[in-house]
Amino acid sequence: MRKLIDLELKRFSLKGHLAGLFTANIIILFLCLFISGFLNVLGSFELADLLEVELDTITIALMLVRAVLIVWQAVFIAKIIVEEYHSKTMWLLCTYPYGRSKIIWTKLVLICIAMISFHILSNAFQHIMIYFLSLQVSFVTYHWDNLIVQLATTISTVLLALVPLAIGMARKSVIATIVSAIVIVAFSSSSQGSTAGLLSIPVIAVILGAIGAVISIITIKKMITADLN
Amino acid sequence: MTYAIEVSDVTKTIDGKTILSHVDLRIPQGQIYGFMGANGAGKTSMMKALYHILVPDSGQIKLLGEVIKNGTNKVFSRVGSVIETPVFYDNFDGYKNLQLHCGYMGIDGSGIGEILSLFDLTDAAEKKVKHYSLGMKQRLALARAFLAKPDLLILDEPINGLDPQGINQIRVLLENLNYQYDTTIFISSHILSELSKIADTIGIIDSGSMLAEVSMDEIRSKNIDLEAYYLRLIRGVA
Repeated sequence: MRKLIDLELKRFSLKGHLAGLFTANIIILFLCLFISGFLNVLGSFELADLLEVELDTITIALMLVRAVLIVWQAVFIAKIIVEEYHSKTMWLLCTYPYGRSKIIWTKLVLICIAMISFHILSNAFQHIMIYFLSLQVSFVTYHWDNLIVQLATTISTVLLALVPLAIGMARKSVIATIVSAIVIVAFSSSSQGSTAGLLSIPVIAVILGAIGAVISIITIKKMITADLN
Repeated sequence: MTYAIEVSDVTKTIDGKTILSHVDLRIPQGQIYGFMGANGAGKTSMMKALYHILVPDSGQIKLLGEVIKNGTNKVFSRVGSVIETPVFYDNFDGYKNLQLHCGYMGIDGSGIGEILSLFDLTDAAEKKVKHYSLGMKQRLALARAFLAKPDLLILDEPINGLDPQGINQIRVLLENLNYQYDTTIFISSHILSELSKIADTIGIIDSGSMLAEVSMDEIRSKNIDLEAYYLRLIRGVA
């Protein structure tokens, strides 16, 4: 599998994505600073009682990171898997001495490793920046969650974000893959149960992750046995 | 006798339509086998089934003695192919496409320069494939198929899009490959005059069923050309 991952990376470079990830994190940081400042200003008005929003800066940042990376993962799925079917280069891969299941699993493992790394890098960046800013700026607020909970939430988010593979493969469409990721972001960021989104509740995150894993396994089984058209 | 391709009783149905019906095909090692049939007769489907791109509903396929299954088929490292329209990573240049091919086939890329030169693509080696003409893509696909010096070549309409000079060049290359390396060649084409020049045996498929398998010597002995033989067969005269 290592050899296949190396070959995938020759076709799909992650360098540009790393630069993009850094830029996205800077934007997210500024955005959550702006939101925290805005909520702080609102708090000084009597109207603030109506809003009842209690989100610290780090929670807003991590919620935005999750939302951005779910869509980012859909872009990876579209580029690394769906596009191969769309452009029929998957036929070519099937003429090589590797089983179709090995080829598909390699792609999926590559996506998951890349995305877990992106989540860890982004979370670390936001934690470090917001921690130091909270020492200097009064409206920037920070707290630290249990590391295991954070890791479980990250893995669950990556698994849930595999669901667009099923929709993208059903329609062999890059657009369907990305639109379905946006729908997942809307659903998982909904404030039902928690103002920080459903994925901020560890139990729900794990359940959603498990659902994502089951849907992906069913999709992959179909991809391995179906004809390539 | 050793067979490079053994297809036994292969059937494939898609959306209720039988596209391959109990196909039996045996191609001895070292032969050039011409595969003929009208559009939609099942030629490309048969070739796709050899790679399980189309997974047969029943029957068995062996390539170079190895049964083809849904998992890993090591034998594919000894097979070169061009099936239907050649596909490439269009945003990469020709050279990089061949490098990737070498990576997947587990061979070094030392022969890339030579094969590009052989197919008159040296000047286009650093050009993105999306800017190639159809003829150039076809030549690059053939270069890719030849690169690993395979024991078996599966070529679906390989001379489509080539000019007469290119067609002649491919014919000479195929004959040399077959003569020098004993490479088995399974080739389909609509250009019957070209097939008759290189093929040892002709297989004819119609509506997913094999109609006939006949040696070119036998056709020649009837004092008719391949086109006449094919038309007679299709009309039920032969």
